[in-house]
Amino acid sequence: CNTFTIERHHGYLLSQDQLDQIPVGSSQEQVDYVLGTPSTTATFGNEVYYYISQTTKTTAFLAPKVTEQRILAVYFDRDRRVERIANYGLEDGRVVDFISRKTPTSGEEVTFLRQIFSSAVGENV
Amino acid sequence: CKTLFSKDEDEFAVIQEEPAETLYNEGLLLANSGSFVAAAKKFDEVETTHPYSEWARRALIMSAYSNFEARRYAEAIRSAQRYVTLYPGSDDAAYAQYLIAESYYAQIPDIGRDQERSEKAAIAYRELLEKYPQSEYAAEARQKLEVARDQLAGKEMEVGRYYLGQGRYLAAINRFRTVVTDYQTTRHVEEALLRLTEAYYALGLVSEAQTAAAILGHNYPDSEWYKDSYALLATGGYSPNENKESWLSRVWRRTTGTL
Amino acid sequence: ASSIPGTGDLAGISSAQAQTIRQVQVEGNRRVDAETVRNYLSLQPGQNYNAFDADESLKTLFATGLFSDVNIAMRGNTLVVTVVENPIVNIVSFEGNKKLSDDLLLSEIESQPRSVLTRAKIEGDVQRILQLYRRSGRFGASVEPKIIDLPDNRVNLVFEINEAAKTSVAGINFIGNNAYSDSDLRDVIATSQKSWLSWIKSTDVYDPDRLDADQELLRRFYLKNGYADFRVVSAVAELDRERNAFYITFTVDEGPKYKFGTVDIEAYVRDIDPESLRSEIKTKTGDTYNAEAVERTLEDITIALANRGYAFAQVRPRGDRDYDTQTINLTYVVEEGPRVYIERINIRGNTRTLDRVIRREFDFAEGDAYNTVMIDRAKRRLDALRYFKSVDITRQQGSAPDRVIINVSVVEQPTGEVSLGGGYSTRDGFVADISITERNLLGRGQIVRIGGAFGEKKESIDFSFTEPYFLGRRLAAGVDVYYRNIDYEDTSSYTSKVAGAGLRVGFQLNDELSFLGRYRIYNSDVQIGQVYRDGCGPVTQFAIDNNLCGNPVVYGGYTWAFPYGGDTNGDGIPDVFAPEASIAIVKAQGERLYSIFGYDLTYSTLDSFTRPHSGLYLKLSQDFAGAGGDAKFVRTDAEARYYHELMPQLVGMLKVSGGIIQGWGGYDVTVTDTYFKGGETIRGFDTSGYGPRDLTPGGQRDALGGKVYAAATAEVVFPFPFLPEELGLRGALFADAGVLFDVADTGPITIIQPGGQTFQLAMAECAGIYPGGWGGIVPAGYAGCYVDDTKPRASVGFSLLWDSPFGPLRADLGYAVLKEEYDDEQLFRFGAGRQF
Repeated sequence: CNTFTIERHHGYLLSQDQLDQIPVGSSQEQVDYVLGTPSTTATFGNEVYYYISQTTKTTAFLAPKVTEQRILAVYFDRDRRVERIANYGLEDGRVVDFISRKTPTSGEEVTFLRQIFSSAVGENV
Repeated sequence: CKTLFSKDEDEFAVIQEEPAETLYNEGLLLANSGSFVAAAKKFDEVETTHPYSEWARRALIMSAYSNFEARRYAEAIRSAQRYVTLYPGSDDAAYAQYLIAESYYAQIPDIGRDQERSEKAAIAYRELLEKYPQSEYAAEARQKLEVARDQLAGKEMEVGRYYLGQGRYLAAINRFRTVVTDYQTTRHVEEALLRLTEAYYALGLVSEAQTAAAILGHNYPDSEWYKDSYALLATGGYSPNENKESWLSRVWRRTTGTL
Repeated sequence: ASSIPGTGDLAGISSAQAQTIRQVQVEGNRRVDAETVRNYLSLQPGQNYNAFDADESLKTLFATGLFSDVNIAMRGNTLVVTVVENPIVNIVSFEGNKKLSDDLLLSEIESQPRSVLTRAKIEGDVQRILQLYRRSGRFGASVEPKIIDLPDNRVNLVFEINEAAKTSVAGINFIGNNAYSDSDLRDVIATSQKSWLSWIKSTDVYDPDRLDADQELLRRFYLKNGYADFRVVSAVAELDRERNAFYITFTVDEGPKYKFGTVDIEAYVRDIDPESLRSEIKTKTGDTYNAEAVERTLEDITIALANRGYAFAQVRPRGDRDYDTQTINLTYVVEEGPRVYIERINIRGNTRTLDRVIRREFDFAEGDAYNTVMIDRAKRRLDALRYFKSVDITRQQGSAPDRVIINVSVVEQPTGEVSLGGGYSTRDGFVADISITERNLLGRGQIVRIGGAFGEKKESIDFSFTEPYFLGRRLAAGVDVYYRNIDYEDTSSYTSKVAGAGLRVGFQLNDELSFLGRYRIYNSDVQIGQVYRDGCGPVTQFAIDNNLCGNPVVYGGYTWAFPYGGDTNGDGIPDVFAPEASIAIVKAQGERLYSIFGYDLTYSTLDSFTRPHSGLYLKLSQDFAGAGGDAKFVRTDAEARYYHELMPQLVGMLKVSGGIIQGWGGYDVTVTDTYFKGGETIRGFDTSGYGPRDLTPGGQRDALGGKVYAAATAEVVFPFPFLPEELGLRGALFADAGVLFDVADTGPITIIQPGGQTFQLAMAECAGIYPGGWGGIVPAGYAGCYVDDTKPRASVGFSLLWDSPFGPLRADLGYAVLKEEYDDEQLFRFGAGRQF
């Protein structure tokens, strides 16, 4: 049986030889063709393409640990030619404790009684 | 062999005619006394026995109203929909469309659950505003359309926050982007900008984080969320400054026409 | 004749030159007013007439469903729209339906009272009604819609139904099957033959859809057992008119039975070493060919590749048959699949379950690589939650060619269960139990259960709450609170009241191995029967005789009595100390607090938990009492069960189990905390029927339990060959064996007389045993004696298992072959439980 640690890959799966095919100056169509649609584009008018990938290791019940995080940023100039390529790694990432507050929303919360009643009656009241 | 009509003779004879008006008034009486289910049945009876009379039209809208009050939303929608199809031009058509929208609106669940009813409510209110812009319900429809859209934005935020909590920053960023681009007029846009700051910062894309915080600060200077984003960036010694070329500012300028 | 609405009767538009329309005239409308019709037109006065707008108007008018026919033409400069309104349905009724009620049929069809009648709706309704009847087995039913015209363009709609008798299946036989008998294959398929039991069955009715499913079941069965070339040549159902029943004949071509030849793996994806994936292969050379094992291998390899970052790799099997050696050489081919990413996961239909409770079952997130195997796994996980009637995962093209959107639509089902149970067993007598369980509390995926059991010998109430995703991880944390009051009077002369609470945390290490950590704190109160009773006259010193107060002691108390001097019932006669329980049990009397940390480690490859056919189940449990509380001991239990299907439907089971409890820190384990073994472990013995026992003459022969036990069982369960399988009758042959020894704290106990004097009563091993085992020889100077030996006990026997409509019943007939004369035997045990 496999060991207790499961490794998982999230986001874009980048391979080195793809990177070599988009030297500085190559067109955006070339990038689209080689790397495919970016994970998220940082431009509305396609200024920067971001290819984000993450590897996590989860051991048994412990929280998954991000073991590798790579962001390939492809910057384009005015006429949409590759201007420069930047790589962000795990070390650039910052530890952020996210704000727990939420914007309040409405909508009927499913109250306990309603659930018991509806499940007994069998349809959603 | 059995004749067609042998079984229940009376069922096929047309129900002995009671004048439409008396039936209609009985319905009104029941409705006023609050027994809406009975009222709805009575109004249905009017429509069945006198389909071509003016009373049939009035009974149909009253039946929709009674079902709505009795919280039988499916029936209310069905009757109101039939009214809008049969009498699109009549003065009660706006009210019928309003009833459809209200029936969906009353069933909007909290953001953790399927927002199909919020979508349907939004569509119904939008139709009301397009078809009957001058109707007395237009103002309320505009306001409730925003509430329904706010719910839809809330759902995107809920899923975004879930992915943020799981450390899936890419999935979170794309969800919060949807709120910024599609639901900019809802209250969630402030929090969406803060979450984008957090997610970009966690990934190490500081310039994007700064832009998100700058837009938040610029448009909602005294918002709690801006204070949070400011504080977050400060931890790394950064401060919000907008990179004009970033997608965010472009989107913002395009849709809000400000800046 | 009216044309079919919705198709748009283009012939209605007469050709007209480009004339400007001065006004629009509507004709033929009754209920729908002209204004409404004009509203739907895209041709307004002042516009030029043109065919396109006319056609558009036609389409919109038909779309309202109000009209059976529409005609648009120019007459001079007036646009004339002639409509024929669809009639309005006054009443919908059904004739000749006995099996299906009017309300059920009305709810299924589209035409409703007061709604508009259209031909398309009627045709749709006829099909829906036929479908309902086909599903309830009336394949020959026919439905005739009748329209009765009424004044004012209104109609009554009548569906004349001829239900026809149930077309049952009189016989099923197979041609070309030599590997498996007809009856074997009948058990494989779902359709079954008409038999005297058919009044409670519905599968013996002819249904063509089920017949197709049967062919798939046959194919999977043969492919699982080596027949890689298996083909269903034909499945013919002939109707015997007179008996209104079908005879079904399956002609099959089995082909040879294959074994696996060479098994290897090729990878055409850069830097994947095929050999590294060999551990995932479930199909071994020499094994019988098994299609399911191949499928499972495909899945395991794909997941292994995905976990290594090759989410786009696809695996397909290539089999080359070698006819003379009848082997299949299998090659798993790993290729690069299309690089597609998931853009968005939409979850729909969850009106009660929270979005995250569903989303968390997906190991992948939006933006990750698209991999069908991972999606199938998520679907299996969602189905396993049993929150949903159906889970459908569909994919839809995303906003870019290499993007896909996953739509998950669920249909929820009630997840609350109220279950009442009743049962009788020779051990606990009559027991009634009730429990309320909600498996999806408030849609948050949490489980809460409140249960109670009440019977002759047992009362218990328990509450439990579980959060399967504690701290957002796959970590099932839970809280339990319970109260149990159990009467062991018959076997060990004491009753025990336990009230306590516990915390537990469980997680799955991998598919087979799971760990459960738990902490329990509970108060246990052991009570025995009367202890003091009236003496009669001056019994001055410790007496061991049969003559208490001059008459032989028969009341079941102990023969010895002890001057106590107190007078509990105040009748002036001084009491004597004569407890109704063994000294060891008296020593165990009283309240104790237990604070126990423990864990269970479980390894299971069983194919099903309730009725396993194959697989291994190992469990190791340990409990450490002593972090606070009064008791200090370590208890270790281990169990191993192995199931193997010797022949189809014949399941063999081997089970070995053992346990040991040791006090520490000078604490001697009390008797009531040790193991009590009997008929539930070795069938043929009574409850607590073997193991250490108090044999003080005249005593209660109380079972004292042992600190060490071991047991083994071999059992074969088989269906009765000649009885129909639906009866649910199965037999079992078994052999049990085991041993229980090392009695715990047997005293001495100290008696303090009111006068302050103290005496000690101690027990020792009996010097010998009277023939017949009714009592033992008490060594001099001791107040009682017990037996404690390591001699094994064994039994053989036969069981009857019946899945009766009233619930599962089990009767065991066990004959003790290896026993001690002082053991309590019980030839027949019976247990039945019913959750309804």
